[in-house]
Order: sequence, then structure tokens, then C-alpha cells
Amino acid sequence: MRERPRAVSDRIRVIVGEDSFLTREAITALLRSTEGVELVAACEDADALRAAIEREHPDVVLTDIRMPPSRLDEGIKLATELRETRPEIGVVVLTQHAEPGYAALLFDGGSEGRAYLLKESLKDRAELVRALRTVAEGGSVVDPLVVDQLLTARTRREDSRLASLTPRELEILGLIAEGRSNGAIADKLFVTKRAVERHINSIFLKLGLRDGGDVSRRVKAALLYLSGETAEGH
Amino acid sequence: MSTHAAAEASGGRWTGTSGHVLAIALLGAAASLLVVVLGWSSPLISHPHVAAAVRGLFVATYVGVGAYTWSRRPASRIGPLITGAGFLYAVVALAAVDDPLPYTIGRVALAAQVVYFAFLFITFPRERPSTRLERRFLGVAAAATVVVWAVTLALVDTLPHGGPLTDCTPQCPGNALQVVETSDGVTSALGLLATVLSALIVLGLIAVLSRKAASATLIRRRVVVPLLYASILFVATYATYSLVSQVGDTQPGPGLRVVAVAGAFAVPLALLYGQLRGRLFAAASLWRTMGRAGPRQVTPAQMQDFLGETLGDPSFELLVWSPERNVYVDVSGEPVELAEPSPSRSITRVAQAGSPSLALVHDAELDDDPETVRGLGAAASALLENVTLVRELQASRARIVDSAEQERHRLERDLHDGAQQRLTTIQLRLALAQERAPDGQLGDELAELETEAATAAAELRALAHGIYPALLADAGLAPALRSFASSATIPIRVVDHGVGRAQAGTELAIYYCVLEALQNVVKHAGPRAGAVVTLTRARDTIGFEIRDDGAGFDRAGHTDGIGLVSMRDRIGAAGGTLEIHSSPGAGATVYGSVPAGGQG
Repeated sequence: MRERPRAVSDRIRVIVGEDSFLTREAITALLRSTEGVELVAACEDADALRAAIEREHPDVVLTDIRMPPSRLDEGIKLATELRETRPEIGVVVLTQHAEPGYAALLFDGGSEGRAYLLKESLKDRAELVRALRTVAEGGSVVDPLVVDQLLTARTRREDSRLASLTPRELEILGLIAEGRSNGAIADKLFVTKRAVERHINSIFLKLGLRDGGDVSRRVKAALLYLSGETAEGH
Repeated sequence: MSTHAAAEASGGRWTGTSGHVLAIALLGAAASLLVVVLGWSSPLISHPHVAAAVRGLFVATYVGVGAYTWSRRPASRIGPLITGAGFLYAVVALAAVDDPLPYTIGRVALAAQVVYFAFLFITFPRERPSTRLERRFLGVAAAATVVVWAVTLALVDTLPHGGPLTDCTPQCPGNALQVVETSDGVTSALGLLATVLSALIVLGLIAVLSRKAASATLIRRRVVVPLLYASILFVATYATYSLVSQVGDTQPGPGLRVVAVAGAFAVPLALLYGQLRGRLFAAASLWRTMGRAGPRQVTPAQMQDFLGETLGDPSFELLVWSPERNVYVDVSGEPVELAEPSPSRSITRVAQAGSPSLALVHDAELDDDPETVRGLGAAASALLENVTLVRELQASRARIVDSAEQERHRLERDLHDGAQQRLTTIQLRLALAQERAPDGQLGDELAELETEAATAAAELRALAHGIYPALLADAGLAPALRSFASSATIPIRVVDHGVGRAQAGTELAIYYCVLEALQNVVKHAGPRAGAVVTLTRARDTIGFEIRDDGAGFDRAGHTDGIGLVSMRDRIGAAGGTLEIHSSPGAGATVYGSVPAGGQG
């Protein structure tokens, strides 16, 4: 994992981009009441968002995928832009589409410091904090719902190498794709970190994937595998 | 000179004229019967029964061909003209009566008939001679005939020998109209003069016809050439017969007689054949035009070239009626004022369902066969109409598909920005409220509500996605298809060779077509099948291919299922084409290509 200048204990400075007033209010209310998070600006369109980023130098931008003026995929465009101009800023793209394709677009130029979350997942404050923290530290997050969808489709296919995974390994693959660290997976499954590492090695061997120690790359590899983009063993 | 074409085009073919054609036919039958009766017991003819039958048939043939022509071209005078030849011959047949007066009338009618034939042959297939040379020739022939015959009638006691259809045994009745008694020498000299005159007229006639037959247009040649050959045959046999009977003092033998009679019949049959041949030619031309034009893509300009070439008229112009502008336009769409027909340029109008459709501006020679011109015009009109209809249908289909897609897109956006957004917000606020609520029933209720809202949101999300794939509009074909592929139950690989973006409607058509094809793979290709979707872009055309390695099917045994029909519909509406190849055991491949239509 990439080293960041910021200590993890610091408050994460966040800018919100959301065009709907009510939703923006709800999100900002959530962020204000979240410990360790400092809301520095809330913007209603992409241009205001860009200006606020210039002004505030936030740690994380939390933005809707559809934003004025184009109301298409402004959020993803902005994330791509920031990768060039301010790679240290993490971006959480919020969406109402549980569509793996958007995650793929978001991760197209690299998945470091990027998260793809369903807007409604913000209600789980722990999930919200995890996403903000992870992207601030250069990691990647994919909404569990999206990963779930991929896993379900993938395991239904008869020829999938996934069939060779044990149920525990399948569960861990899902958690990897969501962007969780080995420690987080160990905590969640009540096993040791060593056990998680063993599982992960086994999974990557079975799927013919190269295991990156880098969690973020690992997320992309797992996602790509799950969405069937890589030829097996690629 | 050529307005009759237009008049005929608007008039019915048989209607209104059949009554009078029937009357003519009956009259012809009566005349023919009369001729047979006159000849049957005539002492003047050798083999009177055969000769009478032949003469009756001769009348019937001319009247029949004339009536046929009349019925097909009711506004033209050529039908009555041909019919008249038959009736005139019925008068000629009076020469079979063994009495000086009717005999003389018959012989005079024969002389008139030579001039009449000349007029008819030169005129055919029109109504009157078209060049000054023709008119002058006919005028001279008529005048010379009148003079020679006036003198002959006044001076001779025995009229000159007739042709094979009028000759008589040496005991011919005398000249009933003789005024002055003269010597045998005068009689034979005048007889020779009359015969030479007839010969000159027929030779001149052959010359004029040859000139006409060599003229430019195919149609005219096709109509005139049979008449030319028949006339030459007729004239040659007639002249030989006349000379033999005039010069030698013996009756021509039966062989020559048969040949001469056959020559006489060749002419009306040639008139008939000329017309039928014109029709056959028209049919063949139509066939060729249709075959070459193809059903969909022919333009008025191409049609003009086809018709000009088919009709052998390089100056041919096709004008298309524009109902919107209420004016004829040329093939480049410029409005054109219809010129007055001139002796060299003719206009044939073609109407469809009562309203104007086309105007054909062509060489006046083509009026020789207005049927062909009109037939080709009608076919051209139908073809062009068909092209317009196909184009309109395609456009309207595209509009319908497009407006339906736009509606879906709008619906998806409305859901996304409206109900979905609100549900999301409600969930967030419920979560906040839950945190603030004291432990107990209220908190539990809020948690329950939150779960409800989450379920509703999930349902709405699935619904919105089903209505319109947002990713397609946002990111284009490749990402949208990849996203679909990632949640499919069979392995699907999407290979993108730089397909890029295209118009929204085009992308949507391809997207749904590919989905449909992939669903077919899931349904029919068998459980172990996989598919590869390949997207390509060459200039402004998007190509796509869906290849599976499944069971395949026998194309011949497969009628287009509903899935294939809707695939074709979508791609067709976007102006593209679709092909499906498969054979049992070898999987199936769907190829499509669609014009990208610019960036959407």
C-alpha cells in the first residue's frame, strides 16, 4: 500500500458533490455527524466541485456519478481528471446503478484511491468511513452489492474456475473485490491474518491470477476476473 | 402531334370503345361474307370457291387487325385506317360481278386501294405522314392515280389487269364508264401506264419505309421493320403477278397466284406483329429495368438513364411530380415547367391512382409505340413509388423506435432523478433518525422501514436498469456490453476494436440486438456454450459480431423466430443489415453493420 503523508488518525477532509438538494443535505448531515470526518464543502455541480477542490485541497471527494452540466458520468470524468492533476486525492463515486461496468470505467486508469459505492450504502456509517479511509490511503473499494452481483453471475457459469474454490475462499474473494485488507478480512471472518493470507494464495493459484501484495491491484484483478474480462490464466 | 399519348394515357384501354369495336367487327364479318358470296359463283375467276374464301379472309384479316389496333389505341386513327383497308377491299371485290358497272367500280377501287395502302404503310404506326417527303410522295401518287385512271376510264374499253386478288379470266366485263371509243393500242398502252404507275408507287413506298426503318429509335424500328418486309414481299409478288398477266397474254400459274396471295396477307399480319412485338419488347424492357434497378435503391436519375437507354432515346427526360410543391421536378429535384409538345419532343404523362406521378419527355418518334412508353412509365412510377415507400417506412420505423427509446431514456432519468433519489435520501435519513432514536420500539420500527426502503430501492433499481441501460448512454457500447456480459450466466467475452461512440439510437439498436443474440445463445446454444462479441468500426460504419460455440442450427429449418425478427427490425430501423450463419454443430454467428450516424 502506498504511503501517504497523512497520519490515519487525522480527520479526513471531505468535499461532497451532489446535485439533489435533499440528498446533499442527507449526505452532509451524515458526514457532519461522523467522527474523524470533516466536511469542508458541498457542491451542486461539477464546476463548483472543481473550484472547491482547488480551494480546499481535500483528502477525499465524495461525488455523485451524474452531475450537471452533462448529467452523464461527470463523477467518473472528474475522478479520471484528478488522477492526472491531484493523484493524492481519493475519490468515492456514488451511484444509484449497481452496474459493474461503471466500476470498471472508474478503475480504467488505475484503481488506487478510488471507490465505487451505491449511494444508499452510505447509511452504513462504518461502510462510509471505511470507504473514505481506504481511498484516502490509496486503496480501492467496490460496493458489496456490486461484488455480490458479479459473484452470483460468475458462480452460475458452469465452466467457471470458481467452482474449484471452497465456500470460504469464495467469501474471501468477494471481500478482496470489495477492497478489504487482509486484516479487515481476518476481523470480519474471525480468523487470523495468517489464515487469510493462506486462503488468498490458494485462491489466486486456483484462478491463475498473479497475487499482488498491493490491495488495490488485487481489487482490480479480482473484479476483472469476476466480470469475465480476463481470459483465464491471463 | 403528340398529345394523343397524353390523352391515351388518361383514357381507359378498352372501356368506352368496346361497343364500337364490336360493331366494326360485325360489319367486317358482314363485308367478308358479302365478298365470299360475290366471288363464290363468279364466272370471272378461276377456282372461284377458293378465291372467294381467300378474298373473304382478306377482308376479315384487315378488319380484325384494324379492330384490334383500334381497341388498344382508341384515340389513334391508325385502327380505323387499317379497318378501312378491309372495307375498301370489299368494294374492290365488286370486280367479281359479271357486269360492267360493278366490275368497273371494283377496278377503280383497286386503284384507290394502292394509294390507300401507301398512305397506311407510310403512316403506320401513327395517324398521318410525318415528313414532308412522305406527304409529297403520297400527294404525287394520289394525283397521278387520279389522272391516269380518269384518262383510262374515259378511253379504254377493257380495263388493265388487276392483281392476284382481282384478276379475271379473259372474259372480263368491259369498262362501264368509257366515253370515247379508241383502238386496242391505246387500251394496252394505258393499261401498261396504269401498271407502271402502280409499280412506281410501290417502289417509292418501299424506299420511304426503308428510310423510316433505319431511323434512330429502337421502338420505331421494331414496329416498322415487319411492315417493311411484308410490304416488300407483297409488292414484289404483286408486281410480278401484274407484269406476268399484263405482258404475257397467259394467266399466271397457280404457284405464282398462291405466293402473291400470301404476300397480300403478309401485310396485315405484319401490322399486327409490329404491335405485338412492340409489346413483347416493352415487357422485356420492363423486366430488364426492374432487374437492374433492384427493389430498394433506385433513384430517379438512375431510372432516367435506364429508360433512356431502354427506349434508345439519349435525350430522354424523367420528370417526377412533387405533390408537396404541386409541380414537376427533374431528377436533381429542380422544379420544371412542362414545355408544350413539339414535333420533335413529346410528353407522356403517367398517373397513379388518379394523381399525376411522372412525365416522360422524349423523342416524338417514340409515339410510334405509346404503349411501350406508357408501360415503362407506369413501371418506373411504381418502382419509384415503391422506393419512396420503403424509405418512408424505414424513416417512420426509425422514428417510432427512436421515440420509444427516447421515452425509455427519459423514464429512466426520471426514475433516477426522482423516485430513486428520494428513496435513497429516505434511507439515509432513516439511518440518521435511527441513530438519534432512543433504543426500543421506535428504533426497531425505523430499522424495519429502512429495510423496506432498501428493498424498494433495489426493485426500482432493477426496473430502471431494465427500462434503459444508463451505462450505454454514459459510456457507449463496449462498456455497456461488458457490464451485461459480467452478469450473464454464460461466459461472454467482449472484444472492442475501437468501436467508439455513435448516435444514441444507433447504439441502442446495436445494444439490444446483441443482447437478443446473446439471449438466443443462452436459450439455444446449450449449457456449455460461450460467446464472443466483437465490435469494430470502419470509417462511419459500426460492425458487430456475436459468435457462439454452441450447438448451432440448420438455417434452412429455421424460420425467423420472433427474436430474429425484432433484431432485424431494430437494425433495419437504424439503417443497418443483419446476417445469421449457422450449421448444426458449428455454433452460430450473427453479423451486423450499421451506419454510425455521427457522434450521438
